[in-house]
Amino acid sequence: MVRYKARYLLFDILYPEEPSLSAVGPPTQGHIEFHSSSDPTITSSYLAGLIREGLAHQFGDWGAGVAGGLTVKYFSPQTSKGIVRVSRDHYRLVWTVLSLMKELKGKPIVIRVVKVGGTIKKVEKEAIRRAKLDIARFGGAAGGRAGILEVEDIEDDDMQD
Amino acid sequence: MSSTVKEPQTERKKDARPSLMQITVKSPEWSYAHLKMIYDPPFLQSTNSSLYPPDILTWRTTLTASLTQFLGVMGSAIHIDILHIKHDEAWLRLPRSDATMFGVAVSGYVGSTETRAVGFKILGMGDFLMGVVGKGEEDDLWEL
Repeated sequence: MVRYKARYLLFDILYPEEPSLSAVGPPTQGHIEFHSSSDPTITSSYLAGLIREGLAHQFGDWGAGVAGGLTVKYFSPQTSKGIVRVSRDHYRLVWTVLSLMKELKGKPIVIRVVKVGGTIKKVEKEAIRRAKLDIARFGGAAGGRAGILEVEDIEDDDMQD
Repeated sequence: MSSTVKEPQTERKKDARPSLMQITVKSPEWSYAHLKMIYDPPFLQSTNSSLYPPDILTWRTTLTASLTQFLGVMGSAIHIDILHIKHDEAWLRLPRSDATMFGVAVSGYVGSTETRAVGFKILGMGDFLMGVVGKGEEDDLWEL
């Protein structure tokens, strides 16, 4: 028996049309709106269901069978970021499904896979790195506190696993 | 010791037969399939109605249905050429890289028409049309 080898995909949900990209406000305003938080009713299991539906549509019974064993390990509606775990041989199918998602709870979205890793640790580190980058970018404008909480949020989840 | 004796012999052989150029087609672009549409309960071979034998559009839609069920949108995108239809059999051409998945999708499919279940029987598959057509004709050759 061979060990089950997994891939972890770190994705973030972008809302390209949702907000009005107004000219007023600091230059980081557009960035924040683009990366706006998701509907709080969106849970990991809801996303997993959506991905499975997508697999069945794009890759039929075969796709749903080979990659249907995925789990959404982490999803935070506040940051619109999540981690999916899927078998190494079929991670590209899940990647495709994520990339082809157009809508979430009626809102037009774009899902971007920003990191593929072999361990959840590495993927979490990338999530934290990106979160820190965002904090540095907003720095004074948005107020650092909210950003720091975001990082802790991810780290707390790590402890539970 | 024996090798020293043999060596000049083989050399002479080589000289006597100038080398011919040999080409092996290792990865042909296309694959060919010979399918039969089967029904349950079966039609009589002599039946001639709007349902049997299936026409080219029926072939196309049934094949697409089977591929969509098994492989989703990806399956429906497989390029299939229907080369010839004879009664309830058809000869198809498809990209070789999709041939395996095609075989699985088509052989495991059970669809339905108004009155009966429909499926496919793979009579032959191969990378060369000659082989696929020839295989089917072998049976006819020995029929009295």
